[in-house]
Amino acid sequence: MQTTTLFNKGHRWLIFGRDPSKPERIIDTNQYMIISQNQSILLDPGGVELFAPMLAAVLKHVPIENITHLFASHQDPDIISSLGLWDQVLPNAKLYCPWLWEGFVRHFGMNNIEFMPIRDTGDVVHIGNIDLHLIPAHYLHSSGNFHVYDPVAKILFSGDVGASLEPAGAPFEVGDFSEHIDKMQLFHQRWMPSNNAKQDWIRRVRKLDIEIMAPQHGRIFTGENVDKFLDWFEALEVGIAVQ
Amino acid sequence: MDTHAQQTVAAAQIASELHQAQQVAKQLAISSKNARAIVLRAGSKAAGLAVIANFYDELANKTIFLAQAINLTALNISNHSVIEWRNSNALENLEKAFLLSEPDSHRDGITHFIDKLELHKRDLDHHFNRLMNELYNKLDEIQQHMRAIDVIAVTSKLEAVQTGDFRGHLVEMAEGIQMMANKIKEHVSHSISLLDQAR
Ligand SMILES: [Fe+2]
Ligand SMILES: [Fe+2]
Repeated sequence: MQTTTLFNKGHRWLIFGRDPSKPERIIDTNQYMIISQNQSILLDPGGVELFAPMLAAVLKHVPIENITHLFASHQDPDIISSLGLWDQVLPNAKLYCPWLWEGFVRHFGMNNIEFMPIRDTGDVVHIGNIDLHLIPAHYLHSSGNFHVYDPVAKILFSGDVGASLEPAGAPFEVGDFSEHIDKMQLFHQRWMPSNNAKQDWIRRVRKLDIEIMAPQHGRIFTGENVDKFLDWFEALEVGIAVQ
Repeated sequence: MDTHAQQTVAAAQIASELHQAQQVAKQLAISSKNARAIVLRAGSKAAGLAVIANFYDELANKTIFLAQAINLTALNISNHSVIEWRNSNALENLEKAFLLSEPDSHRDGITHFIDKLELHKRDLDHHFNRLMNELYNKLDEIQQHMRAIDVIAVTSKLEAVQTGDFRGHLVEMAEGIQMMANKIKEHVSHSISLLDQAR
């Protein structure tokens, strides 16, 4: 599992991904960890196939008892099907997840971890000495869905928004935006169901001060590529499976 | 297939075998009541048979009860196997994580939970063996009942000779009962062999 530090001033943001041991036909995912003092949160900890390499990777940075929180942006298996295994090793952790998915996500196995339902309007989570804002992103693509914004690091974790499908070993960061469009277009048009939801999200996200937009698949957007993405997404017609 | 998967499947199959055995035992109970009615009509000539008919009834009812209990045990085993399955899956993943982890990382966190899960595994194994023995014993008990029913059927066919007009009826009934007992025996033997394979 490759690890890159996205931010390291007082608290830390790490991105894990591009795991060389990942079975071939499983979609590549990015997992994130935010560490502040003796607490940390894993954002979209990933699928069951990724549990072992993820656990080995995070323990390079923190002892296991310091993994205090999990966040699942939505219910998909690539997001949180590892829950049943984390549940065995993080018996005191809290899982923040859209309230809508509680009865579904529990199917992955959850006997110890505490479920913290996120209400539709969003919430704020305290980790160590930082505040993380849970930003509603419903219907993008999941009907109960949140992103995570850190106003100090100016990072927006954007879940499946901004995702790109690329071969293994792709770089972590988007270089030329126009060259990147091909890798995202179909994903956004086909997985995202609602133009209304998309516009609502763009309005909200434009008000945030963002230096890095970090999706759950593919490369991260930095600097002016963030605005370029928002402009591109704003103009994009989604929900194309229904004519 | 993984042993736990095999045990889960075997236990579910046994539950279904026993469900069928239970249906037959219910028929057996009805037949034993009929046998008693005929014996009553045969009057003093069939005094010896009255005792036998009561035996049938008792054994059939015990079998229904046992089949129910076995069903419950099989269900318990099925659930238990799923827990063991999950536990061993977690253990496997932690062992994988340990191999991937670096010596200077916080990997004592992994070994701590490996120890914990291994302890849990021993508990689960112990409990599992208890459930399996319970199941074997109950299956064995049913087999004994069926053997007893068979012996009684043979005896009642002999006794039936003295009942004159009722003889044909009684022999037919005894044979029917024997057939049902054999069916139950088959379900139970099949269950035992499923159990042996999954062990
Ligand atoms: Fe998704
Ligand atoms: Fe995804």
